[in-house]
Amino acid sequence: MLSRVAEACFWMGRYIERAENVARILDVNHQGVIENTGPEAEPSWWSVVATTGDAAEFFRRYPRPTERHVTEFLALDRENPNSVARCVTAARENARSIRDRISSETWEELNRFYHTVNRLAIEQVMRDGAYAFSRAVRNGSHLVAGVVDNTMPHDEGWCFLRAGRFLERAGMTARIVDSQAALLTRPAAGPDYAATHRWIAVLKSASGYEAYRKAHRGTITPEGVVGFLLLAEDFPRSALACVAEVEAALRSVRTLVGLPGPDRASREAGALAARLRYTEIGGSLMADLHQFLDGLETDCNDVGDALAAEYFWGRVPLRRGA
Amino acid sequence: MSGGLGVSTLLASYRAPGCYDELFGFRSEPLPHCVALCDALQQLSGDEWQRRAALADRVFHDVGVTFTLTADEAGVERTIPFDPVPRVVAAAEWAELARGLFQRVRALNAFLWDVYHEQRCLRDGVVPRWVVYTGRQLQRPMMGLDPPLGVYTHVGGIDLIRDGEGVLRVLEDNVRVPSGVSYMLQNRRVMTRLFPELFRSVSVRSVDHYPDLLLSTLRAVAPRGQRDPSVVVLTPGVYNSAYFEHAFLAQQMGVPLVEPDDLLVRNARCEMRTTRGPEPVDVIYRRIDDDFLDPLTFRSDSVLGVPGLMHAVRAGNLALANPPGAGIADDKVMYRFVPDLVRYYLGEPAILPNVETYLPALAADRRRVLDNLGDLVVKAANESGGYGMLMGPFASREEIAAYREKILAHPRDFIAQPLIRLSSCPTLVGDRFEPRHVDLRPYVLMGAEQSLVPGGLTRVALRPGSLVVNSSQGGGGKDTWVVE
Amino acid sequence: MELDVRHVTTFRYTAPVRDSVNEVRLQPRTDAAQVCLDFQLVTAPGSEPRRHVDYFGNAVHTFDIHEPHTVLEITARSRVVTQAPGWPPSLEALPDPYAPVAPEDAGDLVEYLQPTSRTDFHPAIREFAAGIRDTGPAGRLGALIWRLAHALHVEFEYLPGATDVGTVASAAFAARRGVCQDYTHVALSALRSLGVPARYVSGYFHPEGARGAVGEQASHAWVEAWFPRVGWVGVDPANDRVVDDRYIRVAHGRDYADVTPIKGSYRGSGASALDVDVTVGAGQAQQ
Repeated sequence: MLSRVAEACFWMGRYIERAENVARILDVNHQGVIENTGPEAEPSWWSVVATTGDAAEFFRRYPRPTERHVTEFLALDRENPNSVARCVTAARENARSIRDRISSETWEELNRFYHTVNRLAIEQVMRDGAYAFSRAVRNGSHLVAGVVDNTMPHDEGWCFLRAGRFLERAGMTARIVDSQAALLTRPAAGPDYAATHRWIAVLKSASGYEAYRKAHRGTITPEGVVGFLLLAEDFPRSALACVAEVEAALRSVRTLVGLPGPDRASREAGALAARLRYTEIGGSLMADLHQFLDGLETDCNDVGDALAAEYFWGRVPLRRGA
Repeated sequence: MSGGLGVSTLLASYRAPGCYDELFGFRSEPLPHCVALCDALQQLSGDEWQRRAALADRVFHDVGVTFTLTADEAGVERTIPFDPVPRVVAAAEWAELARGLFQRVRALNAFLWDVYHEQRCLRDGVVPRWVVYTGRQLQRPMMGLDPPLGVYTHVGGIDLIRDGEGVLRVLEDNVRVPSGVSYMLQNRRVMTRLFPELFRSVSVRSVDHYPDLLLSTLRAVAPRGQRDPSVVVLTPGVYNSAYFEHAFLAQQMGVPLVEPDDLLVRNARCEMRTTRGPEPVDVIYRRIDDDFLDPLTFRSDSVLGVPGLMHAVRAGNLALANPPGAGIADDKVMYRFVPDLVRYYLGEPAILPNVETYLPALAADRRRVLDNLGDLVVKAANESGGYGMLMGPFASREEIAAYREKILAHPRDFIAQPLIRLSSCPTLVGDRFEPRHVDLRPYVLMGAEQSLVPGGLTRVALRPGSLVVNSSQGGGGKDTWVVE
Repeated sequence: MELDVRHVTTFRYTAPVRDSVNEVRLQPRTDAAQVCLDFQLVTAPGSEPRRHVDYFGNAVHTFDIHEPHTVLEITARSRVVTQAPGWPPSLEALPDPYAPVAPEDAGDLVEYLQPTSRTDFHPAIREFAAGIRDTGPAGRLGALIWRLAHALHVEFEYLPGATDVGTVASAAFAARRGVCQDYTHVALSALRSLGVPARYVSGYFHPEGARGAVGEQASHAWVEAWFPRVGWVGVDPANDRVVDDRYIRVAHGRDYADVTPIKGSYRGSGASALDVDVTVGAGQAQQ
């Protein structure tokens, strides 16, 4: 298929997933901060912005990291390229150029999702709460994913869409865990149950609380949650499960395209999955959790870059020479 | 109540406004080949017509048959209004029309070959040289190039109107990038789906094999005669107003839809960027204007298009349908000479007549045009969509004076024709049928041979009394039936 | 005169570029008044240029380089033998009368009478041209053309950098400055508005010791006007000269767009810098 079309499928998958995950990050932090009102709150909201990596962008336009500002920034801000609103818009733009590949139901669902998000005002979100917003975004994303999987032929385009979706999810799961890792290093301001509460919040934002409970009897420990979210191969949102899906998608592309052997991207994805499979969650990893998660994100980006180098052509602009 | 066991009497008081009517001719009874249809039309009540018409609109919207994408955030896309009352052509008349269309397109094609090669018609004075050489659509890079099978007019949209005497005449030729055929196909789909009873009563020839004919046409002009050439449709992209048609035709033919950035030229061969790497492209059905096709060859200040595309054409490695430079044949000024070209190249009189046309560019016509502006319709050459026209009989003195100045300054850029009372056709207005003026655009294909589907796009001027059918100025479309 | 030309064009990019597709018109013409004995075109990175002749009879070489590169160097070498032209050194001596030609009567020359995007018939230029025609004997075409060329030479300031390749005649005329391309476009607009068929010529000029000549170190441009009895006659308004055998003709057309020595496009995000080095020298045989 045309490189441009493959790329549009890939980014449609990535942007929808990103929208969903930004909403999850907003939600998990909202929950985590509820208990910290007063002077404690602002440093918490600041760390949310810091986790998304867009701190500079945020401080260009907002004076202080209050709940309202951060919510607006992450949810609706049109100037923030990684806000939920912008991500859904970008997903729709990519879908528009591949309308003949996706079913009309897919387009209609995505269109509906886009209008829902873009019609919201910050007052409404504040009034209804971050949880309601996050739920609406998650539902929208699930609907689109469901329609895609059930109505789009499972061809090259579908594989790239999945690769995009799961690659994004892997990186974002790392970020969600990371958003709480920062708080881990702070001395406990109160009794232990506050930390436990936060880890439960992380699990719930990743839709993994019940699954975690099934897999782990006993108490909720940071090691347990981190291990689960990163390495539980049968939990669909774990980093390992996502990377494995990316590898599978890329192998399918290879077969469909009719080229022999794995390309660099599927090899990197495979290697990353293998590394994760044999990672031990121990004291040293937890002590350097942020470093580890950063490394994981970088590895995911490398897979993305390899994929692009192999299959896309980079949309380099045309220039007049003389 | 006119004939039959109609539920309604929608046509009982229908009268054409002093012109020929497509279903009634000059009388109050339906023409013989329209009797069955008129009966069938009256099997539905006015309310039912209205209900189904609204449904048809919804279908068009949902399918996304649009010709104008608005940029507004609400994502509302405009469709061209569809009128559910078909326009009918008798099979016998169609057969004669088809002969005339094929003849005309053959002459246009011969003219193009001649202009870009020996130019006998210029030497023999059939067409004034200076008119051809001042035509902005003449593409000098095409001089001396031999397109595969000598074809320049792969797709021709020939616009026809019926005059006050009921005679079908050619109003305009379109051999550059004629559009609207997807509308013809969608109109038919919607009609069969929503008005099945009409088709039970009338034997209508089918048109849905157009994409097959188009694909054969494109495959036939493979540059080296390959049996399985790589064919693509080239679109400017999603923001082009006719994007729906580009995507639709690509999908119906089962060929890739590409944008200029997807292509590159390497060693005078055209390739497309795929996930497998570069793949060859042999034939391009291009829906991009000449100016934006190849920034290296055609004067373009912008960097759009595929640099070096013409290198591949020149090397005989790529066929473009329709090739650049075909526009010199559908220049409104050239139109006047087409019947002469038929005689000159084919040695026969033209089967299809023109509309009488005067050229201010020719000394012989100039005086007559300037003295009679109040009675004439004057159009700017190289313009489309009905803009920049002077409707003499309806214009104010100031408008006429301003137009006279324009003509005097650039006489070559205008043509003048008498006002034609276009034929009318019953059209659904609310829950009643009223006459509205129509034209007809059949699509003539030319590859290894010529072909044509029995039908075309009938455009209808929706404003009462209006003679302007262009969609950009409030026109709509009807299904066109060729009936046995 | 036997002349050697070495024309090196170098593009430097701030970041690697790719998919470079190019068209050059650098090979001098061969006709009754000039013979191109030898021509070589070499590119670095290497390529396999193809040659064809365009509508105006200009030799065109096309080539493409797809692999990433940061420098593109195009070297053209020619050896040309020029003849003394078929017109006298002073145009006033030519007997052809001045009679404006209407497009309908121009036959093959009609396209050299039309305005183009770069040679627009702006009222200011029309006025200037009409002024030249009316202030002086207008009976002879040669005298009229020479007056026009000379007036341009005097009124204009030769100033590289004041205009660019896209500048149209009216803009250059309003500013009264530019390079040889602009002098030529203005002259073309003026002549055509007077009904004189005229065309744009690109090539080289070898002043042979004449100091201060313009266009010595680069491609040069001048005008050819149609004389009914003599044919195309060359005039160089930028240098205030009538064209002779010190001029090498490379390409001609309606305006700069038809003769562009090097045009191309590439894909890249970086900026490009252009360097041109032209050397025209007397051929070996004459040294």
